[in-house]
Amino acid sequence: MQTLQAEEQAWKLFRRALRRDDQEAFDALWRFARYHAAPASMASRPMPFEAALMAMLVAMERQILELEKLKRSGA
Amino acid sequence: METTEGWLFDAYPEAEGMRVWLVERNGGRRAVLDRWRPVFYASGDVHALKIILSLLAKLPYPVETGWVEKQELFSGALMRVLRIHVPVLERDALVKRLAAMEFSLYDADIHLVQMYHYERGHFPLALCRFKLDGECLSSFELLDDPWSVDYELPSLRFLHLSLSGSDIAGKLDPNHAAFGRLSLTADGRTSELEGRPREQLETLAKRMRVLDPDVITSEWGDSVLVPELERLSLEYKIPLGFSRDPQRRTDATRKDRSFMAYGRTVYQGGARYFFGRWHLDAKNSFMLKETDTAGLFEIARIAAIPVQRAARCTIGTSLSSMQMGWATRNGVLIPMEKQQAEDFRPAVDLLSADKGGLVYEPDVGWHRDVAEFDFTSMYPEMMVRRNISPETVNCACCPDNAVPEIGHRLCSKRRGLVPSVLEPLLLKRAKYKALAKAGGPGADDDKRRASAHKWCLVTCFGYLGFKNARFGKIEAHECVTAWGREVLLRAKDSVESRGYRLLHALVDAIWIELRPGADLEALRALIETEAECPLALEGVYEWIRYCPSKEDARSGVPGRYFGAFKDGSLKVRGIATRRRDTPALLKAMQQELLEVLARVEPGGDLKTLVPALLEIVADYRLRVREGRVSADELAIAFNLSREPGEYVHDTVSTLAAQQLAATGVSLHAGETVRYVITAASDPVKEWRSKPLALMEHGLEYDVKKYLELLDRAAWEILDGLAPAPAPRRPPPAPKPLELPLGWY
Repeated sequence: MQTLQAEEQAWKLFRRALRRDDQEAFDALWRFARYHAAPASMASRPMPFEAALMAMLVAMERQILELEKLKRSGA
Repeated sequence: METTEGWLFDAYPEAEGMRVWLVERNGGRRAVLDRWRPVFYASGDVHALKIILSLLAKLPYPVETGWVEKQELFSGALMRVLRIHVPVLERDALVKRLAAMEFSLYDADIHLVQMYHYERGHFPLALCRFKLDGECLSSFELLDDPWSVDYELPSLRFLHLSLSGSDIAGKLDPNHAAFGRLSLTADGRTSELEGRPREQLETLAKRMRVLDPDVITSEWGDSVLVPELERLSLEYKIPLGFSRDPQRRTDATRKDRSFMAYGRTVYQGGARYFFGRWHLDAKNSFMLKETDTAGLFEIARIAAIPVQRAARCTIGTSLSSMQMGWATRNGVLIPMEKQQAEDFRPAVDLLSADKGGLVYEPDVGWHRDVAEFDFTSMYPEMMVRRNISPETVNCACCPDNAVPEIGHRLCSKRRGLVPSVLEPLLLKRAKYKALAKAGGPGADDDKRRASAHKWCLVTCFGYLGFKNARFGKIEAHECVTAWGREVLLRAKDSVESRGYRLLHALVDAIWIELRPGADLEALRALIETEAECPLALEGVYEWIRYCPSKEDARSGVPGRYFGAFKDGSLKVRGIATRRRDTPALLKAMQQELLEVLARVEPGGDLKTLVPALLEIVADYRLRVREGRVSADELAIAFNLSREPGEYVHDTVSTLAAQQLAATGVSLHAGETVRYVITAASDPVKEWRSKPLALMEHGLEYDVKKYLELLDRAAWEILDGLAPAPAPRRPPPAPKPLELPLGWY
């Protein structure tokens, strides 16, 4: 959890330079990473950012899957 | 030769041995002498041991020596060591001298009374048949067992000393505020002492003689009452007889100190011990506060720690005492404590390099029909089941018994010290929990004893990783958390493979969304079997809310939630009402709101309760506006993490502490200052807040600030049910994308 916060902090300047709308997307990615803190910590990567990245990817793919389901059900 | 049956009440060292106080079954209280002498061991090469022997020969008191074989803990190997027997009062000085010469000593720095209990095989409040030879204790037969669940205790006489006299006095640390009057309570009757100091002292002395209490309980006795009364007693030459032993006054050897424990700074006042009588200060005893005398006596018995000491020592002390007792009984040498060992740090610090327990962030929001399952004493249970102990990790004899994830191995041949000590404790706790649940006449005490065990058990984990602890090793600690994670992952697999959704998981507890008609007991048994750790159903929530993070309303905070079980009882974690610094007024309001919510019909809509909830908030707001509140209700508690003068930035809290310090009160890190916000943004700093201790005359407070605090506390609960008052919250963030997963 703490390592994750440190990682997010390390990207602070990157975030600052993003356009407002993109900052929102950026924050969402880190929310995804936090949500998956447990699997990220289980991974024990020497570079924690790898685990954060994988967590973000999983969450994004999950969003896509859910949207597809929604589309199929005709909502 | 005379025989008497009774309880071992008190023991302390004197020149000839141990002075032991008995409470006899026939009601008598008497002191006897046990000519006991402590032993310790030294090891080294022939040359070193020769130096020790020649040094011992020159001592002005008799020393007995001999050679024995004892086990070294980590290797398990037998070692030939020099056994040294000394008069009880000489041990500490001799050990200090030998340790300074860098000899390896064992069993040498153990608290003398505890050592006496370990060696004799008895414990405080043990029922025994004593054989007496005049005033000397010649032998005893133990009629008691520390692991028996239903034991008989002597009927002790209690006297309670406290201060009263005004609203403020008696509630605050008397070091910080006005003194008030002395009150005595015995047999349920309280009387305030009156008259001039001499008359008050005479009354107290008389009551002490007539009542002859075994236990004096007090509030602020350690820091104020006892030292002050002793001072007066000397000044007026009226002996009070706090110690039953006429040779002794009270003992104030234990100094005050500030230390870190579980993430906060704690201040502990110096202690006042009595001899032949106990002094227990309710304001200076964690155990007494948490578990009452039932829990305190239980700890003293199982850990063999004198009751007055057990009341004041850190909770970790009891577990190390159990370990040392086990080592003494099993011929295992106890290494000396390393110098820094007093500085016990919380488990979180130790974990920074370690992964610790698994945490699944909760799905923010209100949920219905949620079951919580908790693994009972998960970490101690792992130590016992997996044989985790400092000496069993990566042993030389077992190449195969690997721990999941981390690659350490555990011994499968030698039973470890830690599991040996914990096993009976876990068993006894389970029995008390069952008894408490069954109800019956002793249920309250059973619950307190189970709770005392819990406090004992929570430390076993921290100590295992604490490198300065006598029996600590960081690898052992890592094995415990690794097995803990394995258990939680197995539990997750177990529930998910049966189609349940995991809402939240926190180290040793899981929350799952239930389906109608779920067989909870079958599910519990399944998870327990698959995870291989005892599991209990904490309860089924009618509703539960996982609170959002303050930084990001869509992120949950592990362990911040509140909910009502189906039976209407509440479980609340991490919100204002649980925090020690929150004003009582806010706590009361949150409590009222929660109680209304808890009364919802099964399956009923929580929103129908909103009008009743808003009415409560309005009532509290009105009370604040109209001044129908007391200083005590508004007071914010501020726990000093350093001395008041050391704070660099001014806040209402530090300003309050500094005002109090300026009146001459000496405040230490770890002490608590209670204050009221008087004018939060006043340019004059001293007017922003005021310590409660300086509020004897008239109450002023910042109405606007307290209304704001009330709203914030109210919407910590009402969020998601009723819209918050406009200016109190930032406008809702524009919703970016309406995605199907609200919790992502």
